Amino acid sequence: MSHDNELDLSQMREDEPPDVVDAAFGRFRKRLVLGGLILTLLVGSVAFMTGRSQSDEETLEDMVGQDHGAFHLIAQQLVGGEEWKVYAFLDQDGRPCMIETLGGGSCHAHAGDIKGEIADYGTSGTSWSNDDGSGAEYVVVSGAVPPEIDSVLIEFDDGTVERVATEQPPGFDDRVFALLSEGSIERIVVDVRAVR
Amino acid sequence: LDLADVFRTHERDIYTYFLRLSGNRHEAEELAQETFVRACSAALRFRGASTVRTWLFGIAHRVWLERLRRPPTSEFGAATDERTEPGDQSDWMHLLDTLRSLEPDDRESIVLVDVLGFAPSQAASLIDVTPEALRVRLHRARARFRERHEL
Repeated sequence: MSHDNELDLSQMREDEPPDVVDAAFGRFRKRLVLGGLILTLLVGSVAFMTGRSQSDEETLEDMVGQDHGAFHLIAQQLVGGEEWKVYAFLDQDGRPCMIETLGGGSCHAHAGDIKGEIADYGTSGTSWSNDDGSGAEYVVVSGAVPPEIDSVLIEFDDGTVERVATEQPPGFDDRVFALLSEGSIERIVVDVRAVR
Repeated sequence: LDLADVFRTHERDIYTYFLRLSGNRHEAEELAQETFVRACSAALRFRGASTVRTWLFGIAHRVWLERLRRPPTSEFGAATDERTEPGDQSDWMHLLDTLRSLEPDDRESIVLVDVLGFAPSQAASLIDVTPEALRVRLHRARARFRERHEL
């Protein structure tokens, strides 16, 4: 193919685009909130119809169980050229039941000297202002979990816990979850009782 | 790593892509936002098999295809892309009009390669055609562009 008709229209690149990224994060957050509200209503409706309700006093440990078994490094994910390491606890059956606090700008997990093997499961977070998440205006957390896991629990620094449903996109072997929220995240937990 | 910083690196080109395709600033802003919203959700699936730029533009291309399937709004394609550079306003508008006069496929090929600087092989993978098909399309699109611009 001849190159004699090449064009140079680089002058048509826009010099001063509007700020669409911040607006996009705002829109993403609204969608997640709306999705969460719908899920909450659905779950609440089912609980009401079946006469079951979740105890308000239940702690995170109550919800996931005390015995977390061996520690395993379960994720190492490349995001935009940066390395993200996420550590998790596996229960005695080998199922992940707890993922430790995500790392911040330095892209590491606060998991101490946890050792283990690398698997395919990943979790990523972003927009932390500090390593411990303090001062962050918002945080995006997303991850992949084994297909058996219906939902994950995310515990915030203030002690509140939010359950985020996972979904399995067509063609994916894992289920995934995503959350955009204000504040800092203490830890992410895979609720073993939510295993399918 | 800050996802927002990564996105901002490509904000200008993503916006340019939609602006040159739609010819409308409001439309371009909406579509660019939608692209980054979807990228937030899709970020966890990004495995580094392509560059972030290629990955983002793949999302942008799908957003654009969906936009083309919807009925055009009253302002869609309107000449709302004026630039206030002294002396060249008329030339600039002629350039925009020429680009806008092309069929969407031709316009997208030129925008990706000649405006945004993608290699033809990269542009081909973005819009899911073979590199050879893209080169043929690009060759013809450029010829039409030249012909209409020189009228």
